[in-house]
Amino acid sequence: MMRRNFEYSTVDLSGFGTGFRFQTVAMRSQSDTYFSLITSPFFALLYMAIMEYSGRTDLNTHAVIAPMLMTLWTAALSFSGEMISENRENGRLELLLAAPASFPMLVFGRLCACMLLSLPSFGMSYMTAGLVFDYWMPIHHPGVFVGALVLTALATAAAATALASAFVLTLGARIVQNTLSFPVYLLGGIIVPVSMFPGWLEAISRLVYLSWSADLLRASTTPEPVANAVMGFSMLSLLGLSALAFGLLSIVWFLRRAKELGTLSKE
Amino acid sequence: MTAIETQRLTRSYTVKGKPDHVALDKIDLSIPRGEVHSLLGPNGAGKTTLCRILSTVLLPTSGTAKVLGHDVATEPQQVKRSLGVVFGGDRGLYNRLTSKQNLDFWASMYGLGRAERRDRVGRLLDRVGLAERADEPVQSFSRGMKQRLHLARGLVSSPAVLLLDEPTVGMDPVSARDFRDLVRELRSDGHTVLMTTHDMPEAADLSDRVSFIDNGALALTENPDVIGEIVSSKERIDVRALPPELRQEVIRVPGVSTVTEIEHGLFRVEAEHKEAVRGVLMLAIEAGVTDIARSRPSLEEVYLHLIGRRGMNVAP
Ligand SMILES: Nc1ncnc2c1ncn2[C@@H]1O[C@H](COP(=O)(O)OP(=O)(O)O)[C@@H](O)[C@H]1O
Ligand SMILES: [Mg+2]
Repeated sequence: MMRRNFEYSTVDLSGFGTGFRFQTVAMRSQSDTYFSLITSPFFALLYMAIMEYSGRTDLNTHAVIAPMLMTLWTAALSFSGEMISENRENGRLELLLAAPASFPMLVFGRLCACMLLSLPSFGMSYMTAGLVFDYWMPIHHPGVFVGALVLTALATAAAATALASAFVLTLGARIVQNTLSFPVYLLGGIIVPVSMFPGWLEAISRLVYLSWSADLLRASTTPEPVANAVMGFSMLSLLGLSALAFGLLSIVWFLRRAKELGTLSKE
Repeated sequence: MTAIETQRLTRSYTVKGKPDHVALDKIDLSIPRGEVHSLLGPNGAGKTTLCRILSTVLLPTSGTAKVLGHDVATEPQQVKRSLGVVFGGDRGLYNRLTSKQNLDFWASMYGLGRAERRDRVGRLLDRVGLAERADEPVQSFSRGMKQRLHLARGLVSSPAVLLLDEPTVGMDPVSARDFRDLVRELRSDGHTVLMTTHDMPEAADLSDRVSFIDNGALALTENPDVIGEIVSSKERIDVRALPPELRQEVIRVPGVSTVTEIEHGLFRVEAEHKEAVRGVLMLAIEAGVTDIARSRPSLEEVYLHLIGRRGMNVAP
């Protein structure tokens, strides 16, 4: 059998744009969209209530930011789970691969569009805290806030791309989805800052890009200058890029094998 | 330049616990540009496997396949750009999106820019008669409409070469007729079409040449007139419960060649021309026998016929 490396330049921006546009259209008619969003105001209520009644209003920013990060991660898990398998079951995967656009970039583009959900999610959690508890979260460093949000969304889409291929290779997509939700919230320091963890656990959590995101986002809401901003942005980019490279390459590898074995379509 | 060329193309599948299954066995096929070529064969013959290899989604086990001179295994990008693919039935559509959104997506997968997409999608929807349903979700479509949309999907990149894998399976007669018109149009526009089917009259009607495939082996490539001749030269009808006296009368009708009992109580009458068929029908109806059906030779029969004849041709 003839051997070759890559079929398309993996970084094909037309595949990315196609996927991004497609997903923004498709999400409007997909129930997963609303499922990922619905939890946001409820978590905001829950966390705000905990902070208010325990007298830790200094942690209110956590309560507002956490639901948005949770929406991002829930969306990543739920959309990446079906990204490849739904196409395979429908017999569409072969047709997608028979087209010139890069399939891995199509997947990444679609998942990036899913991350747009973070905007309404943030809006809802911000409004919930404001309207119910009269806490209107200030943003003292909007540049850092927006930069961290965009990089976090990209890194989450990258992680989801890596998951998308993991989901086709393992049978239990649901199991992976369930085991990867709360541990990641915890290790990502979404609710409790990782600096409050014991040293060894903090070290592990530093490998989870979300821990850097959460720190940057929270730091942008305080009047003090943002400490370690350069470090934070660098780590976020580095971890995101690694996830993306891993994700794209593993999809290419999966497709390559499927073409050899004849397993692209499920009969 | 040939549009499609395969040399000793072989593909086997490995299924756990079973010996390797050879789905294509050293296929040599050459289809010149502009030809409409039908690939006829029973289920499991290897037709879809060949289409998959040509469309780069399955790798050959050995041998080569080229589309417009580009090797499917080593130059898949070039192959993909010149190829449109329609794989059986209504696969490839997103049910919750409208027909316009579906075509727009696929046009974008083939690298068309925004203005080009709008133009192409509009014209294609028109061409397959779905312009009025452009903004309705595909899930509300009938099977026939989905199939037409699927054809439009395959044409979205104006491909030089079009692969159609059993495009008319389950199509209603009206859609099937429109489909034939569409293939004729494509042919006159200079597209090359490779179409798989097990409908012989369709193949005979549309194609420049026809190939037969069975058990992964390409048996022979013929002019469709040969098949057309076989399909239409013999008229035959199946009659149930034909009483013995009537059977004698039927045999005496001029032009009737044989009357055989093909299963208990079911008789097959073979005739040379339509006049003879009419005579038989009159007799049967007068005698009160009404369980009558017209039948066509099956693919296997034509196949055997052709193989048999070739056998005779090569005999000294
Ligand atoms: N992915 C696959 N894995 C294993 N066997 C397969 C696969 N696809 C097809 N086959 C087998 O290969 C043979 C040819 O199949 P196919 O090309 O689909 O035939 P056709 O399209 O002419 O009906 C059949 O015996 C089929 O069971
Ligand atoms: Mg088939």
